[in-house]
Amino acid sequence: MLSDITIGQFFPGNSVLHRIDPRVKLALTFIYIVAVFIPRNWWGLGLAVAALIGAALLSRLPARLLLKGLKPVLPLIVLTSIINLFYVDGTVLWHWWIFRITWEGIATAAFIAIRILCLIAGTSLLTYTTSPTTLTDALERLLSPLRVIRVPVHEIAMMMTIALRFIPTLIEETDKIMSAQKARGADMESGGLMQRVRALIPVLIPLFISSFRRAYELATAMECRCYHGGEGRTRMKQLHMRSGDYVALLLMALLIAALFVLNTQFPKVI
Amino acid sequence: MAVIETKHCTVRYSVGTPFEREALTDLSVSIEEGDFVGIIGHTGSGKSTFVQLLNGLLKPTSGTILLNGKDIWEHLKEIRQVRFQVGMVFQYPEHQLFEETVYKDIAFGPRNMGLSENEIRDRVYRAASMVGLKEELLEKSPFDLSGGEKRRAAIAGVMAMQPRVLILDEPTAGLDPRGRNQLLQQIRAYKDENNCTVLLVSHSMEDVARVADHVLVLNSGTIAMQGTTASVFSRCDELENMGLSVPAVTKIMAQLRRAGVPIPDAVYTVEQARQALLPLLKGGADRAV
Amino acid sequence: MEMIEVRDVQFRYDEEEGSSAVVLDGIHMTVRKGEFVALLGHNGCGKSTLAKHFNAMLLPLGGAVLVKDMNTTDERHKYDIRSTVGMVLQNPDNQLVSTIVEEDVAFGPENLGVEPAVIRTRVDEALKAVGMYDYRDHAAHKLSGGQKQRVAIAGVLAMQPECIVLDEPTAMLDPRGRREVMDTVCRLNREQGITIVLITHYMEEAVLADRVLVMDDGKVVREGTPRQVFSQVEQLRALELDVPQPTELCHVLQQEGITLPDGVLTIEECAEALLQQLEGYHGGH
Repeated sequence: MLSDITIGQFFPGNSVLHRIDPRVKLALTFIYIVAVFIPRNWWGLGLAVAALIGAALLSRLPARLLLKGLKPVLPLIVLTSIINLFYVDGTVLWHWWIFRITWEGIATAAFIAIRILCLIAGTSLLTYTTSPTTLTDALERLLSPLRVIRVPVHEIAMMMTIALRFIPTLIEETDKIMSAQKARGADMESGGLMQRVRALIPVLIPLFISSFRRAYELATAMECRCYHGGEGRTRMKQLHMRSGDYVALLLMALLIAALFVLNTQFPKVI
Repeated sequence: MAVIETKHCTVRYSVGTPFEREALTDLSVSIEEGDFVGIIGHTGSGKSTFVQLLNGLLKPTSGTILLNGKDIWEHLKEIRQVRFQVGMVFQYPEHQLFEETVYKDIAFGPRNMGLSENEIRDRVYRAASMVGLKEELLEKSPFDLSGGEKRRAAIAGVMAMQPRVLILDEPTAGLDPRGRNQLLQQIRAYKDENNCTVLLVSHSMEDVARVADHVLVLNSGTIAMQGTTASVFSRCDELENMGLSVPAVTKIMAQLRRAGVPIPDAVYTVEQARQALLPLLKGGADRAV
Repeated sequence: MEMIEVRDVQFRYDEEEGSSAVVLDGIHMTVRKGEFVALLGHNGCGKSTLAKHFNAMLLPLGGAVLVKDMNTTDERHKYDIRSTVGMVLQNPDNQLVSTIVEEDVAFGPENLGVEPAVIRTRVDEALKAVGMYDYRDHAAHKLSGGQKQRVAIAGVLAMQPECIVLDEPTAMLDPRGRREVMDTVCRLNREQGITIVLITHYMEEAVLADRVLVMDDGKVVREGTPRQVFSQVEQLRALELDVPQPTELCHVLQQEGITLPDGVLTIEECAEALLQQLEGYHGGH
């Protein structure tokens, strides 16, 4: 059933990582994503991986969970690896027709594969330890300076909040409408592609209509509760930077510095 | 003869996850041909799960469902045929309307059955008149109808398939008293005219009392009571303990009985109460010895 | 000063929205402070439209609506009026804004620009008042219908309103949810003195009110205590409204010539009246 899908894979907890200010966590994740591209040699990459493993350990989430999150990107990793494997010039190890495998190819493929894994694991660590609402909140606050250049930051954040609130409701509704149409003999399980697409019409139209109805009712409810945009609005939950957050930022700065230093100390791999 | 039967049906949701729960436990029920059965139970009692089993929208985790003595899941391909024979009107059915006209929407079911254009036409008109939809509404967009009319159009869409068993899940929810009374009468008339079987799921005991011949009470995934409407409603205290609200008349009668007034058990409508009380009130003087 | 004063209000929806028919046709009514008023009438009689006039969601085309002497057409008072008269709507799913219960309750005061620390205490108090404090960090969509409606009430309470208008709050709920909501509403009225305007189709809910107004075709056609209004069984029938079963039973028996008091409302009253009659006949010998 559709309702079995979980949205915004968040695993509640009380670890050090869970408690870091979401703004800091969001910023750190972005910085880390950039940082992964700094290393030019195995030592640097090793340090980036070690930092990630350290963070993962701090999250106290089961390793199985983190590894499972990497599964969907495996095809991508395999593909880029193959491309790198065959197209990088260097010392030839094996040769057949137009295909050549070089030492350098293997090294590059491995290097890039690890880099992608770091990116994915880093971002999943963020979503695993931060609830979607907190994340939206952090995004609104981090981006708030952009209001100066007329970016509707509050509106974007409000839309995300509402989307998160209504995704489960709409999934449930889709389930219900599908059942109702199946009960009237709609056939959604057989036929070719075109037939299947057409079979979705009796589901999609009611879904659209009910979404509009919900949107209208929600707008009324929000107005009744004095909503009038972001102006003059306060927030119940205030975010305060604590010592732990500064420590986290400091560690990240040290990591970046170390990565640059390592680049100068060891020979370049890619 | 039983038109539909469940044999030792158990339904578990989200098997293998921490959210696993059992919605129905070893349920064996048989529904007689031509019966009007009210199914009551509070939210989470398993009544919605139960009715979705009957037309093959849900597959039991274990157990079998027999329609006319045949296992509905024996041939996977024929499950659509089962759904044509066991029609299901979901809660707030107006939310499933999608066609350009009311006519086309009511015709959706019959068309899926592969009927001829003439037959479809006949059935649409019959079904529309059954629920009291005026003919001129048939060419309108279903989204231009009033709330009550939308509900009727959606119910007509299932009636037009002329199922042998018609299941309605809370058909009167959200309607005003006028709409509620009319719809219940129309459902009853539909049943009497087509001589089919009707299952009415409701948490309004007043509704059930008014139209059903038999009542099935579900509580935490099992059958708590089963029998004629009169026999079930006579167990007023047990129903209340299950968190169900008994009609006010039934409660009044129970209080009188407790005070020693000789009132029969099976009083659950105002009309029945009138008939039970009148001889006592009028003839009281004659009978007192 | 009345809580809400409605003076000769006329209203109809714009022509382009399809129906140009008059929806409200010269409504006169008042809601006094601390009162519990029930508004009855079948679908389309204009009661939801009237309710939306109480908090300036709709503005009258003729006449005036005053909330604590503030005219709803006065743009300056719009948010004072909306925080004074809170509104709870029918569908519990479509009025909760945030995923998390307490964040949703905070939505109103946040809009009003209340200090964060004050919002926190208001949210906690509001959730306690509706008995949902233990669910403050739960996901809103996983609650039962009755619980969602109580969260919606808490969301209004957190704005510290003096009046709450509830537009068919129990129509989509099961009996248990209906009881939860009605218990909460009655308690808020009794213990916190909050003025309540309840729109409902359920007569057993209307019976709990201090005063009942019946609407038909854009007009207020009956007004009085539940006892006064429900004793007119034939008139209510003509308006195609239900009467509470105890009232109806007494009425049909009265028509058979049995002497019973008028305006019996509750199960207890009805049973008592009947017992007295039965004893009366028996006692005669």
